[in-house]
Amino acid sequence: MSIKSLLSLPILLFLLIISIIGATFLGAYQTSFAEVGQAMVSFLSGKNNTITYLIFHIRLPRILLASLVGGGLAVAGAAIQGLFRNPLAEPSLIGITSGAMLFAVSSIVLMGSVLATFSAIFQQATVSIFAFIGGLLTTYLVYFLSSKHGRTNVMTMLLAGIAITAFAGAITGIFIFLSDDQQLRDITFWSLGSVSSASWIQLGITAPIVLIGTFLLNTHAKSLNAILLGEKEATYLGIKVEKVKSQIILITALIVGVSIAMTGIIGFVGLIIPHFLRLIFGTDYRFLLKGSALLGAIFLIIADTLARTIIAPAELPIGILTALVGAPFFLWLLLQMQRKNSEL
Amino acid sequence: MKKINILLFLTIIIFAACQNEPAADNSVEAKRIISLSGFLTEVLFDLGYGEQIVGTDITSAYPIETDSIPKLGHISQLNAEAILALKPDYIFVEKSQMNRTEVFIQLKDAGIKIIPITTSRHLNNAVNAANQLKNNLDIEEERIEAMAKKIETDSLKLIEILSNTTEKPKVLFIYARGAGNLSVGGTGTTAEAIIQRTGGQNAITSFESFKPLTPEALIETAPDVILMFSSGLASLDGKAGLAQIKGIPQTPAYKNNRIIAMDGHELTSFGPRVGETAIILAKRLQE
Repeated sequence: MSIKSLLSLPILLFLLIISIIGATFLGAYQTSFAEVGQAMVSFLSGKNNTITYLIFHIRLPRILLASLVGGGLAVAGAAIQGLFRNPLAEPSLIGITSGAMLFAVSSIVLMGSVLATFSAIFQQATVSIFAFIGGLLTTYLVYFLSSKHGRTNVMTMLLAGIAITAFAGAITGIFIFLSDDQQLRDITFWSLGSVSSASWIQLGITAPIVLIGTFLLNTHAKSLNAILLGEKEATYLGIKVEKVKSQIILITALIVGVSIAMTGIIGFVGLIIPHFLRLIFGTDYRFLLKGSALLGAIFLIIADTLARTIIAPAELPIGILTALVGAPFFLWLLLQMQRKNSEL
Repeated sequence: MKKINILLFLTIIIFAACQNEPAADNSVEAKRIISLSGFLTEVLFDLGYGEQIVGTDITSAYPIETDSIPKLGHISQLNAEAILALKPDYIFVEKSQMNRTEVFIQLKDAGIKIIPITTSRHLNNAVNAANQLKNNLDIEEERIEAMAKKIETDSLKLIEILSNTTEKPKVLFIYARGAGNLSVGGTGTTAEAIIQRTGGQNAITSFESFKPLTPEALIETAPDVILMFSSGLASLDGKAGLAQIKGIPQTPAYKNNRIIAMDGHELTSFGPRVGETAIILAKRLQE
C-alpha cells in the first residue's frame, strides 16, 4: 500500500466521524448545541421530550442507517468490480437490484388484495422482507446459471445477470401496469430510495450484516489484487479463486440485499465511490475496500442531510441526490485526471 | 411563627398560581394544525380554522390562502423532522390515506396527536368531517350548521334538476397528464361517484380503478359525454389537442361537442362546495 493511501484511511475515518456529528446538529428542526447537549442528558436519564425524541429516534437512526448503507453499497461495488475485472460492474449486474425491485413491487401491488388482511406495520415489513428474499434469489439464480462443475464463468455470469435483469424488469412492468395510483406512487418513491423511516430495529438488523460483511470482504483484498492479473494467474499464485468468488458473491448479495430492503434503491454509490478512490489512489484492494466503505458512508450521510434539509419542510428522495451531487463531481474529477494524464 | 405563616401563605399562592396558569392558557391559545389532505384543508378554512393551519400536503390548493402555508410534500413522502419543527398540536389526515405507517408512528411517538378522519363519497361528506373535527377543535356549532344548510339547499336543487331529466348520458372520465399519459376512470373511482350523483352513468363498467386509454375501447364504449379535469384538458392543449388522440373524434361526445372540463379538486374532493359543483355538472350533462 502506498504511503498516500495509508495516510488517507485515518483521514477518511476522521471525516466520517465529523459528518456523523455534523449531521446530528443539522435539520429542518433548528437545534442549538445546548439543546442537543440537554437532549443527551435527558436521554441518559430516561426522560423523553420532543428534542430527545427527534435526535435519538429520528435523526440519529437516519444518519447511522445512511452510513451503513452507503458504506455497504460502496464496498460491495468495489468487490464486484474487482471480481469481474470490469470497471462498469456494480452490484445490480448480478441481479440483486432487479430481483429486489421485482419482489418489492409485487408485494406493494399484492398488498392491496392478498396481503390486505395483515396489519399495517406488518405490511411495511413485508416489502423489506420480500426485497431481501428477491435480491438473494435472483443472485443465486444468476450464480447457478453460470456455474458448471464447481467453476463459475465470470463472463457467463455477467450476461446471465443482464438477461435476468431484463426478465425481472418485464415482470416488474406488469405489476406496475396493474398498480393503482397510490401503489404507483409507493413504487416510485421506493425506487428512488429513502432512509427516512430508519429505526433502531432496522439498524439492529443492518449493522451486523454490513459490518461483518465488510470485514469478510476485506479479508479477500489480497486475492482481489491477484485476480486483477487474471483468474489463471491468480490460481498460480495460490489463490483459491472459486472459493473467493462464491464468498464475495454471497457477501455482496447479503449486504446489498439488506441495504435495498431497508432503504429502497439508492443508485450510483456502488459504482462511483470505488472509482473515485481508484482515480486518486490507484487500484489496490487492500486500500480500496476500506476506503470505499468509509467514503461511501460519508457520501450518503451528506446526501441524506441535503435530502432532508434543502426543500424542507418537504423531502427529496435520496436516490435523486446521490446522482445529482455525485455525477457532476465525478465528471469534473474525470476531466481533471485526463488533463493531468495528457500533460505527462 | 408569623414568618412561618407568611411563608406558608406564599407557598400556597405560588402553588395555586402554578397550577392555574397553564390551564387558563390552553383554552385561549390557538391550536397549531397540520392538514394532510386538500379536502380537510378546505373544510378547516370553511370552519374558520384557516389561520391556525401551519402546514399542508401538496394537494391543498384551495382556497388561495393555502399558497402561503408551508407545503410538506406528498403524503407518501413526509419529512417527520420538518413536521416536528412546525410544532403542531394536531395532524389531521384522511383515514383512507394513512397507508405509510412509519412516519405516523414516529410522529405519534414524538407526542403529536394524529387524528384520522373518515371520509365518504356522499354530498354531506364535509359535514361528517366537520363533526369529527369537533372532537378536537372548539368549532362553533353555527359554522357546521351553515355548512350543512348550504349543502342541503344545493342537494334539494340537484334533486329538482334530476327529477326533470329523462336522459342518463354515458360519461367517460379521462385523466390526462399530457398526450402520452391518458387513463380512463373505471368503477369505484371518485369520478364515477360524482357522475352517478349528477344524473349520468359511467361509460366504463368492465374494470375497476384507472386503466390506460385505448382507441378501440374508446370507440366501443361510445361515450355521450367526456369529462376531464381542467388541468388535464390543458395538458393536451385544449380541445384541439384532444382531437389529435386516436378514437376521440369518432366518439358521440366529440361529434356533439359535449366535452366538460372542471376543476379536479372541486370535482372529486366531495368538499363543502360539492353541492354547487354537482348542480353545474348535472346541468351540463343535460345540455
